[in-house]
Amino acid sequence: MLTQNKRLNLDANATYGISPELLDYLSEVLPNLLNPSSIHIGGQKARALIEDTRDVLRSFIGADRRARVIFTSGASEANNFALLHGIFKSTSGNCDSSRHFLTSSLEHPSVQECFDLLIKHGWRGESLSPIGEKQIVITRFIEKLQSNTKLLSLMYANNETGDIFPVEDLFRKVKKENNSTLIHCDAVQALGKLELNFNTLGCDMMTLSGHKIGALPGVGALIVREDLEITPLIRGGAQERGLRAGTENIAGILSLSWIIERVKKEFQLRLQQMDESKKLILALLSQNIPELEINTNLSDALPNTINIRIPGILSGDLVVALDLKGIAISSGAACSSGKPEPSRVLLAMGNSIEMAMESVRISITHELKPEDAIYAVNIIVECIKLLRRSVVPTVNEKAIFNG
Amino acid sequence: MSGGVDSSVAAMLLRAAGHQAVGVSMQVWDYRKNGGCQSRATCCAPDDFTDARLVAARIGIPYYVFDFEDNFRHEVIDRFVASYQKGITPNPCVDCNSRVKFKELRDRAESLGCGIVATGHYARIENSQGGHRLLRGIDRAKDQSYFLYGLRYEQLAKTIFPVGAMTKQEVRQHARQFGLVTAEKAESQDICFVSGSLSDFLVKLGTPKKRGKFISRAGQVLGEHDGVHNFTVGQRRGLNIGGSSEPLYVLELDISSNNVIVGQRSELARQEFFVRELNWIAPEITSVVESEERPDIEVIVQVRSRHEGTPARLNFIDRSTVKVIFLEEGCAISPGQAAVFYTPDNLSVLGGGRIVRDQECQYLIDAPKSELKKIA
Repeated sequence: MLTQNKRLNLDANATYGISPELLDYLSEVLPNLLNPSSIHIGGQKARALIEDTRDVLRSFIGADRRARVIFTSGASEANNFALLHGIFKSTSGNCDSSRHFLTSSLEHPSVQECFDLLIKHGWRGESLSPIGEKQIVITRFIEKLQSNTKLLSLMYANNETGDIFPVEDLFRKVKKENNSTLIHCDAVQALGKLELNFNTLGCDMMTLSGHKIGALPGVGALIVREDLEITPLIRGGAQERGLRAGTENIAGILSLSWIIERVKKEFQLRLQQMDESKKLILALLSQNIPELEINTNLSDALPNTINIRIPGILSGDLVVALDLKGIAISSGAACSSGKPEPSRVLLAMGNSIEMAMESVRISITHELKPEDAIYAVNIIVECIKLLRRSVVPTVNEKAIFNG
Repeated sequence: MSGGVDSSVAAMLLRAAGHQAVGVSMQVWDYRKNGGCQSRATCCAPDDFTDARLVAARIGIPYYVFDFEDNFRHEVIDRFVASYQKGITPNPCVDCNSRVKFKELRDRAESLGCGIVATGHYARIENSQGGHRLLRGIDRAKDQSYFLYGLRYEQLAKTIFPVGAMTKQEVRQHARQFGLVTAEKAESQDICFVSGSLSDFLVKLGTPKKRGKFISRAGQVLGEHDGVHNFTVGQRRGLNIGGSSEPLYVLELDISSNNVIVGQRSELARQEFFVRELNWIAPEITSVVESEERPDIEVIVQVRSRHEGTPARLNFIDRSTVKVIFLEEGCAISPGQAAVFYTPDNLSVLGGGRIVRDQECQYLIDAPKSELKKIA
């Protein structure tokens, strides 16, 4: 039953994976659909399904009917849209040097690089650590809030460690202190893993990604509070109320509604399954690898994510060894040449390069059955043994053995 | 997989033969940190990895990029720079093969459950009753066995050179037939980690630019140069010494005085020289080396990469030193380069070592034979 060639996705935070049934659904429905902007029936059908998806998504994330759902090609586009283009008018153009922003040091590059660009355009701002006890983090941000802080962006949960940040409490406090600060939340990793409620969260804009919950890659959404004026990202058509012209990615959008309906039906069950398997993995790993270090803040983390450090084992080697045995995990992004690099996030948290280079992320789907979890851990332990036998440290040896 | 056509076809052949192959590129040099690489003459640049990745996907094997920067810097680049600073001409490809590709890479491969390392080298490994032998590649013009003398005998059983029995033309043909993107790719020239001028590279890594003199053996000053590291024994070009009717050649690099000794071609040829840092691959030689008498043996010796090899007699001075005596015409030799010994039919690699300056062996030349036995 469990052969060596069985492939397991323990890298769900990179992408959740596509169910064959989704493809069945799409092959059934797509052939009847034409351009959603056309007058004919083929177009009308498509239009209806797209608008329906908006409602499905709104309802799933606890946003009311008036919140705007703008479909994009994914989260990176949504982030760029929100931070660089969308709020152009609301922050009176991009060239006033008296504008200030706040964000965290652990955001996704598609958020960070937007702020880098804003700085080039004369904005001032800071990236603060979102790590620590809730109140301390909130105080850290509030202290830096200024009267001209136009924009604040904090992610809901971190993709690499799984840590959840005190977004709701912080956003509420920020609005109280400075009503004119626009708040953006990258909730990419939260969708499908946590109960989202756009209404109570208190942000003005939220980024979501389709493939992280099991929709097709190439679709995402920017959720915008109803009365926030948004500047178009792509001009040249009436789609997305003229904010993002271009024929919609029907396949992607339909896949999003299909998966959300699925997830909704058994949401609690999914979360429970993730929780069980994650706990099992954690227990087995701790038993078999006494020197294991856990980087994730387990008391407040995504139900499917564990970031761990295995001293003496290079994460790049472990990822490859596991891949050859059919287990997919990750260790931070690869650089453009493909060489594995230490996790930017772990480094930004103040950890050493040695620590980051020995850390890997395990992020499971709800489909990982307990017996698969055990199988995976066995393979992990086996690979570690093999790697230890021929450990040829290329990282500074002293650093490893001195902790 | 370097991203070149040889390793591409090697990978393809292994897959076709039913092996479970895993393609790996070694990143030995971070181009981002070192001013980017525009030159197509180097290999293992980011574009090359893209090619390797495409080939791996086309063939249907997994592909990874391994970080070898620290290891390569230590085992190859540092030694390379240090050689120039000592006034000898290094051979980084030999170091890379001996110390990195067939050592560190092999260790990593084994930790991943891969018992065999294969490359696109033009060389052959033959299994006969005597065991394993390392042979020249069929394509003599492309033969790379010279660079592989550092392999250990035990490794031969765990090494495959799939293209060694082919000509370059055949390799390209295979690549074309199989639709590999690297089929028409130009070969990488020169040293893989040096893009641009070697002199600039050395200076950037700390080699001082010290002006010195060109002098003849007799001591006559013939001109000036701007760094001993710019020259290698046997070099004729780039000397810029006027006033001589015949072309002048570099005879010797004198680091202590910072002089480059030049002379006529006839002065270049040596009749004998010493080799150290020996590695023996053929088992029959190992028994000779271990024995008490260590009789002289006759071999073909190749003293640089573009050298067909010439008959010579090996005289074992001690376990770690060999005197090579050319049996026919003398030859120019470069301290620092590899001397590789082949069987008299010039086919099979017996072993090899590094050519050393006479000065390093002076004490052995001077010592009486009876004393030598004690040293050994």
